[in-house]
Amino acid sequence: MFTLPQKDFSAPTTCLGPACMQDLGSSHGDDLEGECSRKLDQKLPELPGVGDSAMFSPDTSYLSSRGRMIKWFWDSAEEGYRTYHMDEYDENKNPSLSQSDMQRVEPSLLQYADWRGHLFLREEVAKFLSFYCKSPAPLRPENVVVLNGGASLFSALATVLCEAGEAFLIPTPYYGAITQHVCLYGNVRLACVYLDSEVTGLDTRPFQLTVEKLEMALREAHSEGVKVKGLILINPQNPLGDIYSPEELQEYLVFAKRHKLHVIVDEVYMLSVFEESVGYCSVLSLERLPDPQRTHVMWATSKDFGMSGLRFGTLYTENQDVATAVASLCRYHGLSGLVQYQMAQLLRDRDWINQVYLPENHARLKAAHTYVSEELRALGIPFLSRGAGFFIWVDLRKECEKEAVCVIMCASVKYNIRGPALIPRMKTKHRIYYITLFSIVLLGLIATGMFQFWPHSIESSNDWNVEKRSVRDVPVVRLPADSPIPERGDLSCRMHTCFDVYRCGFNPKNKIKVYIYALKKYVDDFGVPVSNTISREYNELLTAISDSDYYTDDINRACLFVPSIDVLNQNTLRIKETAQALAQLSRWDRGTNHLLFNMLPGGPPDYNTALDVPRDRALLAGGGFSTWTYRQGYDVSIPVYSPLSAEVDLPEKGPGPRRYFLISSQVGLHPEYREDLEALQVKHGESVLVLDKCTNLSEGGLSIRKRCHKHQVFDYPQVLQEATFCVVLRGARLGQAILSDVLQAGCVPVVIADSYILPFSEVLDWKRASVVVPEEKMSDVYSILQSIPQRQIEEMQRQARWFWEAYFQSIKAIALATLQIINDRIYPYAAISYEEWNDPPAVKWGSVSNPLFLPLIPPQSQGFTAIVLTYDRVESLFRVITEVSKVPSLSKLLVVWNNQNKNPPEDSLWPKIRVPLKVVRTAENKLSNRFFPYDEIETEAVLAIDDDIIMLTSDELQFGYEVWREFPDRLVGYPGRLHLWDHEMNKWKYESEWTNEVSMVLTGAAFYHKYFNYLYTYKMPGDIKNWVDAHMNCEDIAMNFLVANVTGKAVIKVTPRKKFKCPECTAIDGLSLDQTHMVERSECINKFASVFGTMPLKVVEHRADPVLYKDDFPEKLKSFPNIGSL
Amino acid sequence: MQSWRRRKSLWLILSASWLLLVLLGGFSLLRLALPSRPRPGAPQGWPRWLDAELLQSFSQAGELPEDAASPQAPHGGSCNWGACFDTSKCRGDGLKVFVYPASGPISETHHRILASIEGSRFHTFSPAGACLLLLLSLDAQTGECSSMPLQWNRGRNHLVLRLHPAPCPKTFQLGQAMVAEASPTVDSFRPGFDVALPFLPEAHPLRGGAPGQLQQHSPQPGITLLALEEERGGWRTADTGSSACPWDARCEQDPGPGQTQRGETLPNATFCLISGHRPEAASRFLQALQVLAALQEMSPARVLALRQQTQFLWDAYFSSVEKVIHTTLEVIQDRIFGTSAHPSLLWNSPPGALLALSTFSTSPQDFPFYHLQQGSRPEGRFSALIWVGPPGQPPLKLIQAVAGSQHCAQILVLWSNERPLPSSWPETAMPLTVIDGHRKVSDRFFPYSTIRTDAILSLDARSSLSTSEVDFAFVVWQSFPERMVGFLTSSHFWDEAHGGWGYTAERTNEFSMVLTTAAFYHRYYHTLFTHSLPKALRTLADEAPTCVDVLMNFLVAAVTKLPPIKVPYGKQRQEAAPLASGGPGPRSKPQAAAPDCVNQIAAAFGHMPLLSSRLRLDPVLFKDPVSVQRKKYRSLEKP
Repeated sequence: MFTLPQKDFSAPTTCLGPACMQDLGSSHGDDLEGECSRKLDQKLPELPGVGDSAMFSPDTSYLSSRGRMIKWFWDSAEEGYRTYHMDEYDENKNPSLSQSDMQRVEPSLLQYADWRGHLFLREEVAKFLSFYCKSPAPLRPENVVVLNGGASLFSALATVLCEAGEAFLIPTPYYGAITQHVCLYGNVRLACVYLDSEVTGLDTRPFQLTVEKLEMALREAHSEGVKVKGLILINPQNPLGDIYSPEELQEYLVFAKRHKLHVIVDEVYMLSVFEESVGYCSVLSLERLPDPQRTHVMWATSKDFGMSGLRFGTLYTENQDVATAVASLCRYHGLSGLVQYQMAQLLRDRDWINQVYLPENHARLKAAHTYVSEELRALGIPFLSRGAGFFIWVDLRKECEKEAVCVIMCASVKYNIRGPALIPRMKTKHRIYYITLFSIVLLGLIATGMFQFWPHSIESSNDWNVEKRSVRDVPVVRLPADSPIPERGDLSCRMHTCFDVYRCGFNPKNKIKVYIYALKKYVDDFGVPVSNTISREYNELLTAISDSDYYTDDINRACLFVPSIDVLNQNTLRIKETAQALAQLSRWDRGTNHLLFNMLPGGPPDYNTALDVPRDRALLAGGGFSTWTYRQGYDVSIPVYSPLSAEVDLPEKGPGPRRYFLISSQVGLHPEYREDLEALQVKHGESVLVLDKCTNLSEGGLSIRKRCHKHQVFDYPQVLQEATFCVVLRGARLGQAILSDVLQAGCVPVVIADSYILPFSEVLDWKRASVVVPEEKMSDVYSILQSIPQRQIEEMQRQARWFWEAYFQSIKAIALATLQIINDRIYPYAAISYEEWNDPPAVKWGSVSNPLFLPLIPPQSQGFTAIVLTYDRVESLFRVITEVSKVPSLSKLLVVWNNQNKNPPEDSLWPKIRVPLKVVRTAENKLSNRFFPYDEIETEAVLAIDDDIIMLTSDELQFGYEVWREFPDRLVGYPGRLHLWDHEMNKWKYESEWTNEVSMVLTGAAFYHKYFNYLYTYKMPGDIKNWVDAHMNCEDIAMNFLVANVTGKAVIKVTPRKKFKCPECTAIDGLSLDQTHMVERSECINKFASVFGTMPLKVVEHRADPVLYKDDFPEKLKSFPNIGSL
Repeated sequence: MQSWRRRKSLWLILSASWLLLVLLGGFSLLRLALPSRPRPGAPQGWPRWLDAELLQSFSQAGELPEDAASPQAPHGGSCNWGACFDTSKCRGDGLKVFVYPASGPISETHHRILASIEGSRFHTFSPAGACLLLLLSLDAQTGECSSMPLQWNRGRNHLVLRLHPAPCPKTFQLGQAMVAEASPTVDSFRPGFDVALPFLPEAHPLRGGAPGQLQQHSPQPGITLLALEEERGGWRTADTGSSACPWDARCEQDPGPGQTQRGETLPNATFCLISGHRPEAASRFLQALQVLAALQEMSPARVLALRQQTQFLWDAYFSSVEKVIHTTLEVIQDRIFGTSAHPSLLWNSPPGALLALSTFSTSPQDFPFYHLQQGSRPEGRFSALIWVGPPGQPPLKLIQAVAGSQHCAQILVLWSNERPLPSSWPETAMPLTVIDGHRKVSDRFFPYSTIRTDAILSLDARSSLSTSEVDFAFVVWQSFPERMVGFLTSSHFWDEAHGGWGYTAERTNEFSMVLTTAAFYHRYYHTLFTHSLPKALRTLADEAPTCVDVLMNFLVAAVTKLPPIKVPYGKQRQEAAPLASGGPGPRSKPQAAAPDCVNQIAAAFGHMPLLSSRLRLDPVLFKDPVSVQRKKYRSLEKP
């Protein structure tokens, strides 16, 4: 007996083909070998017929031909559903995770709703998606449409976006039911984008979707006269489980934009990504969508919540026309008011989703995946499992050859190079084998499904890397009253005195290794526990370390030791006994290389600013250090974690002025401070808000989340988002959890706590995110803040929020930042730079860090190395060598011999020149050989020159070199070229001569810094380098892109020269040749721009000439007289 | 037939499914029956507790916000900025420094250092008005150790500057005074309060200072990788070959030939290992971390960045005593300014915090230097600033030509002669503002608040430009916002005969200055000219007006370390004379004064910052033999 957990997989087995009415009228089965995207103007079935037509029910009299076809889909899908219904979920074996607050009928819910969904639901959906898709800005409810399930949504989108007969591109293999969704109503078909299973040069993983493949599919569809309107992306992909990285998504979207295609991004498995490491990113998390008006995102609850019976799907699109058109169809696909209410309840319950549902769901998914993968691995069957959804893609081709049962099926295995979408290409009999083959794959997945809902098996199979035990079962350790106590912390400790770096050793990854002691429960002689065994946060912290790259389970290789003794809060532990517990740790050794985490130090009445537990030399990561207790360069100051970070979702609010200028929201303030603040409020009125505890609230539990001013009640921490500046005042302790809340709200903290060491101040530049005011200046706070320019305030708001996101928002973030800081001290040469710690991603994206940033004019005496790339034009080469050797600043000549079939001429035959001449032989005839950083290049300046450039005069070359000296970080070349945006074709175009602008120079002869050779060879983005070698063209354009991208600067064109040689200049005769050339070059620009993700080239209107060029001045007195011909 | 086929397929599906189910199910049943053992080799991470959800939080609800405050700040034994420095005296003018005069005879160096501080913008003569009192504690060669000064006040708001380690016993308690000294020890150094200085050699130049010796951006192949500091100041080089020290072996067994003696110049190495006071620690350090291997793994990009950064830091903050002192004062001023202090970027990228004044702005995009790093662009408009000196004719033609430019945002006329202001000005679409100047030449570079654009086109009333020329020059300036873009040029050269610098405005194959009577530059240079140049230099410019051009060129070159840019000037032949005569001063003998001021200014700068260029930036189709219809700047070519 087996179940079909989801209907997804019933489809491919019966998939007729991507085009819904294709082949219905064919008279013999052979016609099924047609292409995936066929012309649709074929006649409808002439029934009864022969061949496949027999698959349709003979009972035809009641239905139209369309009806017959639609009915056929029912028949074909029904089998799967029947089995699915035979095995519904089991109450015991598969406890359903649900809440009971969803049953409610309000009269208003029984009325007609807004067709696109009640506003309350759309708001909830928008918030939900903003949170889980991590959108950079809050998503807007008006862009949301809800309807009954993803299938309806596909159907509706197809209907409103396409004319009948048009098509969507879809990467194949794909979830077959989409064929019906887009076709039954919309009469829209699918054009397959084949993802070849073999890893080609363009791919880095099997079945990788690339722009190349998209382009190919699009061309293929066009060539068949099919109009393609859009692209369907399923992310995570069904059935490959593949996940598109943000860069890839960006590329696909840019591709779609280029061709004006709609993109339907189906993220229905968005929350079923159980491997965090695969780094799933929703398309809505992109900083900017290339074409927001044509990007439509869908999500539904059938998969992520296993609630396929509820029928809920949602569309998010910024295109109001599309949203309205789909909403109009909601008349037939809308949700009932009751379901809408239930959905809103579900989506709102973020706590349950985050803390109960998702962890459990992911654990079960992971368990099932691990199980199936282990089995497959044991059987030696190749498969793909990418950490998302229910998918494991199994390659049974080889397996079939062995198993008897498969013998028949393997008859057509050789066709199986392109996955299931090839099915319609095959003869009918082959198709059956395929159906069978797939059923096996499906079964694997069914098994996956079974395990997904079979928690018992998860626990019994004990082979995960982590064990499942109870905290209550940990071993108990008795500490005798007289067991040794460590000395108090040594205030003079520094890394070089108290830390043993030898333990860390040289490590190729430059990563310290961290060991965590096993959890024990410590009791004293009387059996009274020393402290709570472990807090939730400390458990999270240790989990985070254990999951990180730092972790090692080998105590002998560890360089840093983390006790599992929880000292986060000093109030919850017994100081002497805790110290004794530390001292008996197996590698304690006076606390050397031990790291303790503490957030709440000290205790009444004097509240020390560092943990009072004697700890000898142990490092302390403490929240609330003062300058007196903080051992600079040894301790790490960390934030006090605010539980509200996880509880409350404050979407990022754009920078800019807010309702209040300054707010104080702390409750336990000393009366003196409160007086000062209230004086400010009196003086400055509305712009200052001083809040306090609410005294008259009845619900005690909620008071933490409320603040009051007089009788006005405010929600905390939401109110912080209403203020530009937020006061963070010293309490009994210096470190305050409110700092985290303030940063989360994007409010600029005004830290008034003398001697407080701000969290991670060793690496974070707090000047950029906060204002520190001495306590005695408290009354001047307002005027100090007023003097800050608005632009700086906005920077600080952004920075504050970024600090929270990167270093405050979770215990994990805090733990990893702490370890990174220690790691940076031990491997300073591999340390993370200031910019990486402090620059928000947006800044990192927009700015350029020029590798040659020092303004430095190299001395002329150094000269340059000329590199001549040659194949076999020896005569021309010798002429070039002779010409170039006349240039005074030439210091070496390097000939790159690119012909493997022929030896270079003998030494005696080469021209005799005054500088060293070296010949380098290459292993392969590749264009990129000209840009290789040969060791023979000893000068900084390189002149790349072709073996047929003989028209450049010595003056021109010498002048080019001198110009390069003034612009050593740029490409300095002779003929200039330009890229232009072609508005008709919507893409870039290459332009050659006679323009008033340049953005590129040809590298047939160009000076540049040799460092760019290193960049070209080792750091060229994407597949550009291979692409250039494969096409034997555009290496110069690639170099122009590379240099412009890394420096942000334009090229320098020197001298009036416009062209090099005659093939291009006599192009008037061979016009067609020239045109092909231009088209190819334009294609290169478009290709490179899409790989770089941007257009780095800069356009300028100047060229460099000698100072007196064409001036009325005696020619013989000019330094470079011999310049001027074109 | 068809139905049979279909049945067959169904059979196949069914049987295959059964097979698989049995296969997989069987395994799982087996698994249930047999307790499995932990997989060897798999890391045993921190356990996932079954009851993790039930664990309590580290702090009780309400514990975090409800801490009771105590009114006293935690206190300790030593000073910090908030406790020991009184910023109330520093309001208004920023940092004003009073220097205690030396008691008794002082060395020449001491004298010059005092003079240098007195010439700086921080200095004040009144101890009462000063917010920082500076006690210069130099070498004890004179035999005199400084005694406790008058206004000591337990050292509050005092800075004790020790350029060289003082052999003097501490004659008085430092108390609340900040100490700026070389190589302070971790124990006595108060972070955020004291200032650590570099260890200066005795013969360190007072001002100017040698530029960095890096002549190449990238190391040459085959260069020594690492040089180790030896005792007695020599260097030992460790070559790339010896880097393959095995884990336990000692790297130092191979003393090699690469040893130098004390006093020899630094070896030509990529990295130098400096081990502080304990040279023997160096080899231990090497052994422990296998520094060489780590260094070799460092990417060329990183090595390149480090090399350049060291040069920048040397040049911006270390190369002269004056720079070290000014840096110290700037650090203290930043502490006083708090939120309007230099952002880190300004300290750490060229030209550095001494030349990027935080009083001008704290936003990097306001300066001409950081556009690329910030991903911003200079704005697309300029302000024309026309200086009208004697004889004082309103430059009507010039105003019209400039106002015709599509990039012009406003025109400012700086009226600087004895004649009364004309009552009427030509009608232009541009807003025109007249500023009544002080008849001083340095007025030309005053940061007038009425200048609202980043770019300034500085003009003399007698200059003559066409709209086309202005447009092209401005477009060029946008590509090089940190440089001066001018039309007419002059050069400096070393005059062997006179043993000094010479100056020529003749047309030559190269140039190092552009005349500011017609030049584009960033308005920041007005601020820098007025607020950072020593007063003496500005006085010099006022007294010898031809020098003002030279001075501005020196200033910009010293900041950018690049030559200015020349663009074509069409009317060169006819009107070369008025422009080339430089400066708006008396037109007699302009050439005579110039070499003199080049030498004086170079002396004041301590070095010669000017650099020569041999190129001119022309429009792409400039004077090309094609139809003028194709050319964007066709009027530039008119004779």
